[in-house]
Formats: sequence, C-alpha cells, structure tokens
Amino acid sequence: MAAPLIADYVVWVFCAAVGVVQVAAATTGLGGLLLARTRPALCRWGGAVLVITAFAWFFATDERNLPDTAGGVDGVKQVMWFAIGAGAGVAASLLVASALNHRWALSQEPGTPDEGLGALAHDTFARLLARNLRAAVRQPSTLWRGVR
Amino acid sequence: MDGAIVRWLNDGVGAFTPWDLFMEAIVSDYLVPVAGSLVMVGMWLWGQGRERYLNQVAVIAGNTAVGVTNGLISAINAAYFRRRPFLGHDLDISLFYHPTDSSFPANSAGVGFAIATAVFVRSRRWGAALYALAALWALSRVYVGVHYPSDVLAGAALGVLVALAFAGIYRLFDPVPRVVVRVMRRLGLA
Repeated sequence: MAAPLIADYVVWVFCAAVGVVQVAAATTGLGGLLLARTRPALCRWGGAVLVITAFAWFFATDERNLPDTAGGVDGVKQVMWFAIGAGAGVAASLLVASALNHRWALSQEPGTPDEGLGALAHDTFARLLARNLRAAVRQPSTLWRGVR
Repeated sequence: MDGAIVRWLNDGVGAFTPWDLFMEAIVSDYLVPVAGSLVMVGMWLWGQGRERYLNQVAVIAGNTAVGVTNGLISAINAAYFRRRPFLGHDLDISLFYHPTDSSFPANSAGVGFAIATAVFVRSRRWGAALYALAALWALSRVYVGVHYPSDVLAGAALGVLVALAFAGIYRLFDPVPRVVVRVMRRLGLA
C-alpha cells in the first residue's frame, strides 16, 4: 500500500511543480524557463491547468486518508518526498526548457553569475550553469567572491 | 465547551455528501502542506531583482519556521498526552483514520499557519489564501473528530508565533540568508 501512495504523491508533486514553474516563469518574464517561449500565455494557463489537474487526479483516484501504519506518509517522509518530487519537477523544467530554447539563447546576451535566475530572461539555465561552473573550476572563489 | 463544539460540528458528518467529500480532501495530511509548499516554490521564482531576493529570504525563513514548529509540537505531544476527541465522545469518525498520538497541540494547524504566516510576510494575497486554507484544514480536523478546538487554536498560535519570530530573526541576522541566496545565485538557482 505504501509504495503506490508514495509513487502517486511524487507524480502529483512533480506535475504540480512543473506547472508552478511555468506559471511563475511566464508571469515574471523568464523566457529561458518556458516550455513554449513564444507563447507565454499558453505556458501560464497550461501551467495552472496542470497544477489543478494534478491535485484533482491525486485526490480523486484513491483513498488518501491513511495512517502512517497502513500506507500513509508521515510528516518527515512527506518533506523528503516533496523535495524529491518538486526538485525533479524543477530540474526537468530547467533541462527541457534549456534544450528547447538553446537556439534562441545563442542569439541573446549571455547571462552573468550575478544575475542569477534573472539571467533566464535572456539565457537558458544550461548555458548559465555551464558558464558559472567553468568560472568556478578556473577560480573556485568566484562561487562566493563578491557575496556580501 | 471544547467537547460540545466538536460534537456540534461532527453532527454535520453524513448530512450532505458533497460537503463531506470536500472536507475529506481538505482534512488530508497532504493537500494543505503541498499547496503551501508549491506557493513557496513559485515565490522562489517570483518577482524581479530585490523583490525576488526578499521572496527567497521569506521562503528560507518559512521552511525553517515549519521545521521548528513541527519539532516544538512533537516535543509538546511527547510531554503531554491528550486523548483524541473521538475516544471520549460519541462521534462519527468515518471521514478520517483514527490517530493514536496526542491531540494537543494540533501539528496540522501549526504547520498550516506557519506556512501561511511566512508567505503573508511577503505576499498579502497568497498569504491570505493560505491562511484561509490553513483555517479550513484546522476546522476540518475538528469536524471529523480528531482534534478539539483548543488543539487547533494552540497549534495555530504556535505556528504564527514561530513564523513571525523567524521572519524577524532572519531580518536581524540578514547575512545568513543573504549568503545562502547569493551563493545559489552564482549557480543560477536563485
């Protein structure tokens, strides 16, 4: 009983996190994070629909009110599984959006480490991360230098 | 008084099936924590420049507050045992499982209100929505007969106080979250 609930929980959180990332990225203009960069409205509404559908699916498909001793997930494990599900959702969004927007990003101004997520308005996460890691390997102190 | 309120609310169980189905989803261990945590994921990305930075600090403070609230409530539950209302009253407990741990204070209310307060510090609109959800979660726990009103009031008060304390502490010790956020910014994650 426990495994299916945890699996369903992770799928639910994963899908909802992908939806939340699309809504937030479309609203704040982070084009490098969008799965359909030229259609931000589609990303915003599609993301919202994905979140709502994920919630409805989780609660409508099975009995979810179970004690920890009969397949339920206690608070500590819930934190862990949420981190895994949401982390995977965010990571998948970053990677897939990077692949889809690679050509566009080549024609844009490269992001700088100081911009952080703001660089995704004109760059992809993969390019930004690669650039930042190369700088960190050459000079590890760049990771924290200038951080006040 | 506590018992009378539980009995009065619990009398409604079974009277209107759509309402029971709604309460069955709200009372779940998963809906409110996941909704609140997803709002925090959104907050991490939301805004521009300093606005986004302040949102991210609020998310760090909120997560810390939830962990501390949870720990404090577990400690109180271990030190003081209060029997669940369905064990001392004739209640319809068909909408939820039968918890065996201490009833006072309610962990669900503590966590729900800690998340809502942490979000409310930065975003009144989302914070208010999460307060409403946390209040509904607390009410549903009384409705299904697993908590007394005083359990959820104590849990909610603890969650609000801890979240406000951490919002203040992080403002006081600003360099800590600032360094965390800025190092993550170097990796393109903040």
